[in-house]
Amino acid sequence: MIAFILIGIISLFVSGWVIRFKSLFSGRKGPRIMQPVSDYFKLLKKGIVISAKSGFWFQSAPVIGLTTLVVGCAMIPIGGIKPILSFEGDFIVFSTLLLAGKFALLLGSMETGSSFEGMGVAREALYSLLVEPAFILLFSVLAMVTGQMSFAGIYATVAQMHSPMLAFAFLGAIILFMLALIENCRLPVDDPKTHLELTMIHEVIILDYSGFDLGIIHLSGTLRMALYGTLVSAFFIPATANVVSIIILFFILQLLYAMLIGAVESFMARFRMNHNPQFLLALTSIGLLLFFAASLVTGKFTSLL
Amino acid sequence: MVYLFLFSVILAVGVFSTLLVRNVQGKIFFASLSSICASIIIAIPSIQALSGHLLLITLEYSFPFGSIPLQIDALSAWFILIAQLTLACGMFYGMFYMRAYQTQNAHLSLHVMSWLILQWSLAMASIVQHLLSFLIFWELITLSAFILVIWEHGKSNTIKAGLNYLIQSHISVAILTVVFLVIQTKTGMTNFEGFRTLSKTSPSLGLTLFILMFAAFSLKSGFIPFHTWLPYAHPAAPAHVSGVMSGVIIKMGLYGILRFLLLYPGNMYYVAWIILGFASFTAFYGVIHSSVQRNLKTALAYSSIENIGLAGIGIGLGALGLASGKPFMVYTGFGATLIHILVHAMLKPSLFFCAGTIYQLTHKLDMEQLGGLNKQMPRTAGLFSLSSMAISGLPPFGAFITEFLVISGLVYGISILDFSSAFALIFVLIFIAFTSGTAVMSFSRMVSIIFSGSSRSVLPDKIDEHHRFAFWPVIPLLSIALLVGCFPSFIFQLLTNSLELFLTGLKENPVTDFDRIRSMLINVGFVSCLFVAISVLLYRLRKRKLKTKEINTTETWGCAYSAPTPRIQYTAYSFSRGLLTLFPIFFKTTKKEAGSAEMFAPDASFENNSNDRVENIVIDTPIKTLSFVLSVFGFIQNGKLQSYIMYGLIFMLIICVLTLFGIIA
Repeated sequence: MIAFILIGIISLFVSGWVIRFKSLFSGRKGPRIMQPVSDYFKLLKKGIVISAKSGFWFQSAPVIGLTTLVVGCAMIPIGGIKPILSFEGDFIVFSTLLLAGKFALLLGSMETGSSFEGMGVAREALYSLLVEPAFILLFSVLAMVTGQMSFAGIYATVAQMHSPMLAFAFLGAIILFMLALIENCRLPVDDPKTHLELTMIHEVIILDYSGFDLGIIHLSGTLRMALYGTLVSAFFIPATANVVSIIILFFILQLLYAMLIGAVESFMARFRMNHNPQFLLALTSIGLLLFFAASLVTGKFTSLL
Repeated sequence: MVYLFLFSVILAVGVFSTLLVRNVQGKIFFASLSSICASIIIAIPSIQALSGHLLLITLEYSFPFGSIPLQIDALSAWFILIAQLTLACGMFYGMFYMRAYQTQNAHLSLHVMSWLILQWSLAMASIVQHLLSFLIFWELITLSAFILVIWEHGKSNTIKAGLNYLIQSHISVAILTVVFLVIQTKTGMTNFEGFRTLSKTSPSLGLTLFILMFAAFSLKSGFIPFHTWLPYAHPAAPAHVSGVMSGVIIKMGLYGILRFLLLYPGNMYYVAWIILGFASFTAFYGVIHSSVQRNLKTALAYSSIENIGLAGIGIGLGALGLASGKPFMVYTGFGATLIHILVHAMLKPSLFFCAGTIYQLTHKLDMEQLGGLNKQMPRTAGLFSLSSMAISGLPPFGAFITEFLVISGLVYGISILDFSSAFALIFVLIFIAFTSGTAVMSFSRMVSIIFSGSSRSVLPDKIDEHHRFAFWPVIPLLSIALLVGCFPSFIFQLLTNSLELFLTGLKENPVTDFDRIRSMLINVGFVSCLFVAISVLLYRLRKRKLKTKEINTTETWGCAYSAPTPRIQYTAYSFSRGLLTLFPIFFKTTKKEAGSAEMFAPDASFENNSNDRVENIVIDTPIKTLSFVLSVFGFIQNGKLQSYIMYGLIFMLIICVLTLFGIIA
């Protein structure tokens, strides 16, 4: 329960942190930390404008997306704090649940019949299908190394601050960070500030949403960012610490995560659009390398020699 | 015994009443009545078998048949029950679909009779354990399916597709005949136990025979490279036949593989890797082709190939578990296969039925010409999109349970097994994860292009989808898929006796693994139920919140483009172009560009077709080469009687010369 609440609290801050860091890196002061979230709450008070062509999926996609993220939040452990839902194989359920939310959003945006949204949906569908193997492969390799098959078990074993688990924690965090960049539609895959029809991916999917629905979508976006930040941070929070130090460490790590995202967004250019699949497939390849490293560590190679 | 006898008699009565009753309505009434009664009758011993009461009768005959064991065990019971339910729904949908053809009395009689014979032979093929009778029922399935497929025999494409199916199924029967003859002559036994005996005495022969049988059953199921008939047969057949074919007939190939896997006493290691290899590639290849097809039914056919691949991965995983003695992998592997057989048999017919409704009401199956149907066919749109969400392996529906079980089993195998097995299993894992993502792309493409936006060509003005049989049959199928997704541990519990059949000879204690999987599934079901509950709750909250706010309806935001037409919408080709360019070696693409080179040329056109590379390699190229080689000798058949007499004379001359020189006695 505490993990769930913590992720919710962090989601209020993390987008403000990212924008603040981006402003600082470009020499500006930037808006206040709670500015984006207060904008989103303002949106929740408004009505909606919908297209005449839209139907059930358009109206229910934001809600379904939020549901998948809320249920996903209930599955992530932070240090020794157990999540609400924890069972063997929950990482499979987690990734497929998020994919279900994305499916609803894809169907909803195509309902408007806009060619811009078609562009975005086609690209987003391609990138999600390339992200799936990377996520499942990463956690399968971690399951092999730790001998556990649930998030709580994997993180509890990997977050021990000594080698070789520390190496796996770093590698896992790097891969998950790159996955976070893709799933949250950040540079170098997708630029949230572009708003040019030819170059938008996620922004164009939500082009036709307004008011209340748009507020829900943006809030789900912040929740997703906090969720992936938790997945990355939990690698470095050992299970033996007490609750207060866990919370402090968690806040600091999420701040670092936001700073890294801000740094990547400020100092990297966006990839050319048709290089994106290569980048995504590279994550699966890194996962394969991780498998070899894990085989070395767990002694699987000795059966060959 | 009584049940089997009654089952056969009722279906025979149905067949004869179809022949004897003149009135079309009466025909259909008697046929459907007999079909439903027969289903109920055969369901009773099947349910008993599922709960552990094996039904075994032996019909004693002397030469040449030998005694025929008839057995309904938990495995065949599962297939029988699924087949009967799918056939019943298919029959009701068929009554809607065939409304337009009610004047074709004789033709309809043949169609209905073939349906009943199909129902009978599907059940009997799952029951007989005798080599020859299995072949007979296997052949009956093929023939009745062939007659059902070529309903629109006026079209040459339909006949070609039907003949393609017939020829490939007969290759399957030929291979099975050879294998069964070897078994019968080597062991003298006429039932399936002969295979077990033969494999015990000569293991290499047993393995060879199993691989041959796997090839034969793959021709029926649609594993790559034996799948080439599927994408032709499904679009050619009427929708209820496509649904039943895809849902049930294909699964009989899997039944054959499972039955002989149960009887195979040797080392499962090679068997497991062969099955895993073929199945992984099948799943991958099927789904990427499903994403690039223009014809809706061809896309659904390739999706069936993908799902058969997934079920095959389950079989391979289970066999690997048997080979390495790990009951966890056995339970997850075979459990996933059996659950997927159920779920796919529910979902693919519902997709095909919706596709049939679309075809009946718009007379178009080409995705690039449809669009905007969600306003005109809201029920079909809703059912099709829910079925698409279900079959992509997403929670809260049942196909997700299959993927969950298979991935859990693979992760367990990767942790426990040695390096080379783990390395191969990692690739299977990558294939599966990739397949589930691509299925999402494929089905979101289908749903969005067909139902969303506006129509891309002229469609009939009045589209009336209100006939109840157009969508009533889909509702129970979809509900069962939802129930499997939300209460998976219950379904897994139902499979206890089926899975126990596979556990002979395992040394580790299987009970703890069964409970472990059951508790995992209880949690998964809980997450699915939570997902449904919270979505509904938040949707209601949103509705209540918006009651007090303003809701305006306008045109779609066009980003200041002031003259939008339906033709600027995204096309099906563009949707999946990213995937097409990622894997060009699996496709044989042909592009046709025409028109003058100026800007906004009025006669410019572009057409892209992505065809099956495996079919090109396995079927088209060999046939072309063979035709070319044979055409060189075409001069021999010149139609002139004089030449043929000369050939006879030359032959006699050769025989004389050879006899003179003593080469022939």
